[in-house]
Amino acid sequence: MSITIEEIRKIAKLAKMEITDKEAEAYARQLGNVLDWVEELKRVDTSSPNAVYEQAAAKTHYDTPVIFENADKITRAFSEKENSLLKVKKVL
Amino acid sequence: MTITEIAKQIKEGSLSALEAVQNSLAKIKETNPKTNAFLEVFEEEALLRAKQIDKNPKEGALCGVPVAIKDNIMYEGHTVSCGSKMLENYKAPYNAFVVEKLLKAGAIIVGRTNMDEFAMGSSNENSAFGAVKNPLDLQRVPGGSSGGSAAAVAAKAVPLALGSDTGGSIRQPAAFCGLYGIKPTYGRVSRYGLVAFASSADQIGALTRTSSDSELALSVLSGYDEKDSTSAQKEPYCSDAAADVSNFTVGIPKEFFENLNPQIANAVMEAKKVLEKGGVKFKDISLPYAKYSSPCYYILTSSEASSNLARFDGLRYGKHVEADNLEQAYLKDRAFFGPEVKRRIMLGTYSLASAHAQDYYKKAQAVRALIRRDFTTSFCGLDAILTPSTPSTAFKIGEKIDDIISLYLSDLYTAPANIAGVPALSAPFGKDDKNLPIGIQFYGNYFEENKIYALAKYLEKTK
Repeated sequence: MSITIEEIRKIAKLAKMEITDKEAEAYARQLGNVLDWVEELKRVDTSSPNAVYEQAAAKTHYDTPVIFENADKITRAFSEKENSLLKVKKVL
Repeated sequence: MTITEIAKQIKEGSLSALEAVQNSLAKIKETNPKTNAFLEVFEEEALLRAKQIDKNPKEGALCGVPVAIKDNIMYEGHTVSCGSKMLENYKAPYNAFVVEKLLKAGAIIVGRTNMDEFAMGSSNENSAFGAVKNPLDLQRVPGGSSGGSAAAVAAKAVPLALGSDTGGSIRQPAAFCGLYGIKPTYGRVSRYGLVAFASSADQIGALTRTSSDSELALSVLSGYDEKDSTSAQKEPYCSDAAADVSNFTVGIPKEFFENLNPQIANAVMEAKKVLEKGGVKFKDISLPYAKYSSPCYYILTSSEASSNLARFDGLRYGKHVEADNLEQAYLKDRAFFGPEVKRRIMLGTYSLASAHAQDYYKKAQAVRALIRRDFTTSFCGLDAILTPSTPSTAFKIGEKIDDIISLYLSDLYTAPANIAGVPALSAPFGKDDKNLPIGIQFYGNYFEENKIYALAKYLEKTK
């Protein structure tokens, strides 16, 4: 299953990763090989009702905000900050 | 000395925690320049903690025992880099559940171990901080992604090192380095504080030199944690002294022996003979969908990874490079991922893209259900399943770096356990004609680690 360099660039853009021309070429070849390999999954008959994956019921954790003691442990890793707020480039 | 022996001697006073740590640090100094197993050694801190333990009442199953943790497990105030330039200077803001457990049990964490970047790899050649070398043969890989932990234990620097296993990342290095490597039942050990790779497959486990050390480690690490929503509501694992292998029936799945290296197949058959002498009955079984585990694993885990690693944008944490706008900030910061990580993020992004999700991600999920069903059906009437751990013994450094599929196939016999969620233990058994260790693997039913340990302990006793 071949994948074009153009498709690789699109995927890299979706994944917000910058790749060089050389990388794009290499990844096209490598991912093409991997996609060839995983093609065999398409041949598996998954029409039976047994072929439905259910993750074991996880306990729902409600998002209740609490104060994290010593927030400095978190904010000290920020690339840029103002008081305890993360500062980023304009979003819009 | 086993972990139990070390802790006992420290409690009795015939060995001090200080001595135990000094021995460990000396061994690290001697071996690490060759193996690159440790990325960082917490020397001063470990010595201080050892002195404190020596002064106080000595308690805990791991009292004074020097241990190592993989570089993707949070240890508050310490760097956790996941083998990546992205997190080179990132300090953990909290302790992982398993680290709390180790500390409560009296363990002394002497360092963090090298790994394939973000746990993606089977050889520890994907670390941004240099490959790890197998202490048993420095020309060869220790396996991955918990290669550093395996090398640390195999070099006798520590008797216990934590690893993580998503497709075989504890068991395959255990096999390559002649160790015991346990991947517990999914949910047995909390993932709180483990940097996530593939959340539905990741499990923390242990690498040790004996089976009883492995079992002891599991009893310390396991137990319900409300901070991990996938943590099983079970008591911590407890060794089952009453487990008697002469009552066991073990399955041998024919699919795992097709095209298998004859020396490895032989080792498994030799283990079978030893167990038969102990009264274990064997049964030929079939796991027809297990052969799809590897491609299934790569689609599913890459998809989950593409989501889990989306958080690494260099803004809240991680390496950051100045950029003109937000989009550029993401692109430049995420360039710090290594090639294997980028490959898998792209594979995952592709598999989840709406045009392909049906063919790849959803298909892989359906196949996953069938693989899991293979196991649940087979375990009716069986106490365990015996397979090889890996298709080969430790390969040479650089041998497979350009052959991605061959590297991916290293997980052939281990990935099914992560796909199905069952526990699996790799145990060393025999050597090949190059004197390299061979690993055999026991699969257990959900939460039946006691049975696979009983089998491993029996084999170890008769060696």
